[in-house]
Amino acid sequence: MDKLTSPTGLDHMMEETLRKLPLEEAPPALMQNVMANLTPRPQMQASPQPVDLPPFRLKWMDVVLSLFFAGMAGLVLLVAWSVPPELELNLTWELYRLRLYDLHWVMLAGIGMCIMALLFAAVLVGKRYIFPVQR
Amino acid sequence: MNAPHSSTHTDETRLVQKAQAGDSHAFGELVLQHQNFVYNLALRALNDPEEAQDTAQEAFLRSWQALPNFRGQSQFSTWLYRITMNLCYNRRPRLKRELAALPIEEHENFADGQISPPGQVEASEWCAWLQQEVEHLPESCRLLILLRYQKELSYDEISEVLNMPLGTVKTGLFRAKAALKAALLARVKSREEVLEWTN
Repeated sequence: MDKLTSPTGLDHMMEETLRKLPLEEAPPALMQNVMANLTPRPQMQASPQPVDLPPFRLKWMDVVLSLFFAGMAGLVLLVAWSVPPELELNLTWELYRLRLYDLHWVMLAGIGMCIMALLFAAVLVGKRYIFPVQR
Repeated sequence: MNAPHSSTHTDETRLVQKAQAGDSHAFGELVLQHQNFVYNLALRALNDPEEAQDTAQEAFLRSWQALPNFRGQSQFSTWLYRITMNLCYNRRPRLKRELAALPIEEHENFADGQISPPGQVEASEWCAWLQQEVEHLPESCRLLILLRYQKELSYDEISEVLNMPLGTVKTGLFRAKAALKAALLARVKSREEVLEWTN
């Protein structure tokens, strides 16, 4: 049988004994209660119901803005058609002279972007109000 | 030697990742692995089996809810034990005060090398006595012994679990061991006196 013959032996024996102290068994109901009470975490819960979309309704501001932009577009077209041929030639010559003729591409790009934006807006309006997606 | 421990750690990491993703079966495995120690930790802290069970249950449920926020900066077990201890502190505010009030001075009388244990006592007897003496220690010391020797947590980890300064943890463990040594030596001395008297 082991004898305790030195202080080191005592310390060793004490630490070994402390490591082997008996633990109580957890009650069987603990595991069952924990598993029975697990609730879904917030991010796992079902997504909330979609909010009902408001009905499509035009307001006076929509009419005013539409008229303003339509008027601006009409004015640009009117000015372009009403320019006399001499003035058009002079303007073209001035653009070449000032080396600003490349601005045509900038204008075309701008017009293209406007058309794209209008198409995009039309798609959004159509998707939202004209052909709503059924959920 | 480290392979089994490493493998266990990897398994636990895998279970934690699954549980974080919402796998309740993986979480059940973690509960199964840790329920005994969590229950014993709460039991040591609260000294009431029913309260210990309630606290352990609440600790697991809170850890389930908080798992997505667990970043793995410490081990899952350390994190879980800390949740348990915080719940114990809520139930027994004096426990934290007791732990914080552990005396800072060292017990020089019981320092290593100054003890001369008699050789006539069998090791098995020492073990039995020691187990009894541990039960007579204050709750705070028993908590420290549980964490240090039964879970083999480092001083830093114990400090994290108990939310206590490192110095307090070291002093508390030193005090607990010194008290155990003193108690054991007193018992041995009285036993020898009895033997001498009978001879």
